[in-house]
Amino acid sequence: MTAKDECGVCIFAYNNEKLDYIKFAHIAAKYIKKNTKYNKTCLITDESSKDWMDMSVDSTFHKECFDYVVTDEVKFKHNPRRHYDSPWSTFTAQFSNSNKDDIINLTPFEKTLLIDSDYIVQNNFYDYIFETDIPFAIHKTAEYLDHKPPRLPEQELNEAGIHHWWSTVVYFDQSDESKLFFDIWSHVKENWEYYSILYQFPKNLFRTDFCVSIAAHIMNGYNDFNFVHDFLSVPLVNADQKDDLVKINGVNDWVFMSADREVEWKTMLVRKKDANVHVMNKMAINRHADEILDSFIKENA
Amino acid sequence: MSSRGFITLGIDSEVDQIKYSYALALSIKQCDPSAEVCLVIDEGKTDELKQEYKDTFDYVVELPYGNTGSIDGIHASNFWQMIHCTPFDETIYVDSDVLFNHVDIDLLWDTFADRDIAMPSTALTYRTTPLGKDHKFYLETHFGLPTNFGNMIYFKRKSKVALSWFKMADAVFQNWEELYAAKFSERSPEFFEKNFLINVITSMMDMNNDVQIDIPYYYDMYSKGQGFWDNSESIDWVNELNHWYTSDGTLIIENSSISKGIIHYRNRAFITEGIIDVIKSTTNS
Repeated sequence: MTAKDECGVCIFAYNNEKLDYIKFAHIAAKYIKKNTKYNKTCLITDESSKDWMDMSVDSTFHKECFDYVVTDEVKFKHNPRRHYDSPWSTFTAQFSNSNKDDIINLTPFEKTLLIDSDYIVQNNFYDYIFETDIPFAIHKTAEYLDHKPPRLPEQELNEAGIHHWWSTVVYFDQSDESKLFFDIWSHVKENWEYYSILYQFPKNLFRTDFCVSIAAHIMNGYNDFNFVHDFLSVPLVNADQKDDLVKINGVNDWVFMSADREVEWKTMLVRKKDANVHVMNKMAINRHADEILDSFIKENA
Repeated sequence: MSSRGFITLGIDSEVDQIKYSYALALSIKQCDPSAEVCLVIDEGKTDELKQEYKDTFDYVVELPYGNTGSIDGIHASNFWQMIHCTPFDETIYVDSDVLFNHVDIDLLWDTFADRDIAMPSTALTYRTTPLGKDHKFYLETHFGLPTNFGNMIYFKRKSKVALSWFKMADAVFQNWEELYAAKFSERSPEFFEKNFLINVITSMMDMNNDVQIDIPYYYDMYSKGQGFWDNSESIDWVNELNHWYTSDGTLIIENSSISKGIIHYRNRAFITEGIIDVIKSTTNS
């Protein structure tokens, strides 16, 4: 690889038969381009998803969204994930996330913000970190649209266990500290069953959140000290898979239907304006994709 | 320079209770071999003290006013006598169910330097998160009392402020049942509760702002403050959580490591001969 660009954002997209991650990645990249300062972007995908992209995404629009495309084939590992689309509909789809730890090698940037393809950045919050010497950062806490905390197994890996960190957004540079962080992530991935016993979490679904939680725990002195930067303690905002996207008021102005996790028929409208939101209900993004892209045209953004 | 050292109370019942004070003293000396530790014992018991205990403590003193808890067996009620028997100008009283672990003792003294009397107002869980105070201090909160941890108290022997605090402790600790009946009849601890009484004293003296101090490496294994998912049940951490005391003196509980800290472990079953041997070996090395 040639000398790396200074700063940028990477997004993984590996399609499966149910979910068009390529489409989600383009929407996420469009938001990066509009709202952030360090907005060079890189799509990381495989050949088959890229073929689909060439067929389904207008090339001009693609160029508006991405500066780089890196292909990296992932060896298929059976990792089915049950998804919700509102509380009333579920489906199962393959989840390919086994090369996320290789991002430190795949990125074309010296300083990289890696975001999930369903993470919508509607403000410039993350700009600050590119202007620091912080080697890497991840969100330590999360909250739902109604400001409630995640369920307990997403606060700690087990009742007496370590803190649960989030891999939805990962910032890193090319320092030794960052390399160590990703080395630990890789080590946990390669020894998944062992770590599932040691840290007492369910092994059935491979979750990168658990990998980064263990890496953060180890790098924080095998405890909860503060070596690992947590994006100024700002929580990740999760629109749960059971939440729905109901209206696009504008590019940076979305309205959700937030489902109560205790009583599913109880819902609440939540408006998120100029906010960063992890929209975990991917079918909802899919349903509103045209509307979202139209909002950019309307605002000439 | 004024003398300074640690003091702890060790009164045997039918079983050897002094071994906990012994483990504490060894752990302090593991941190700083020059640190001095005084053991306070029941009157007339000096001759009965094991030689290895005598060899470890720098001072052994007897309760100057006798064991005021001898009848009801509540030996902790002798706490009020500590200022009257300490051999040091500056003293840190420590409960016997506490261990020191790679603590910078000079830094600890510096932390207290400008205080007459002080005690931690915060504590950490073994996962280094803030200890939840709701359950532990529910009575204090109900009555609007301070919520400090009275398991480690610094005081200056010649300070009038500290003396006045201990003067009140004298009255409170020797009359705790009457105090419960007179002041807390609506709701009071079921039994003698040293920490509650210490917070009552601080309240009576209107000294909360003066005494509270943050020791950012003070840990407390109080079960219902550890942030377990079901806080309705106490967890016997020694039996229910995996734990190791490593050869370099680090306490590991489940996946979390306490490599430096003052640890109020509470459950005496934690102190085994094996742990004492480890502390001894690291103290001597």
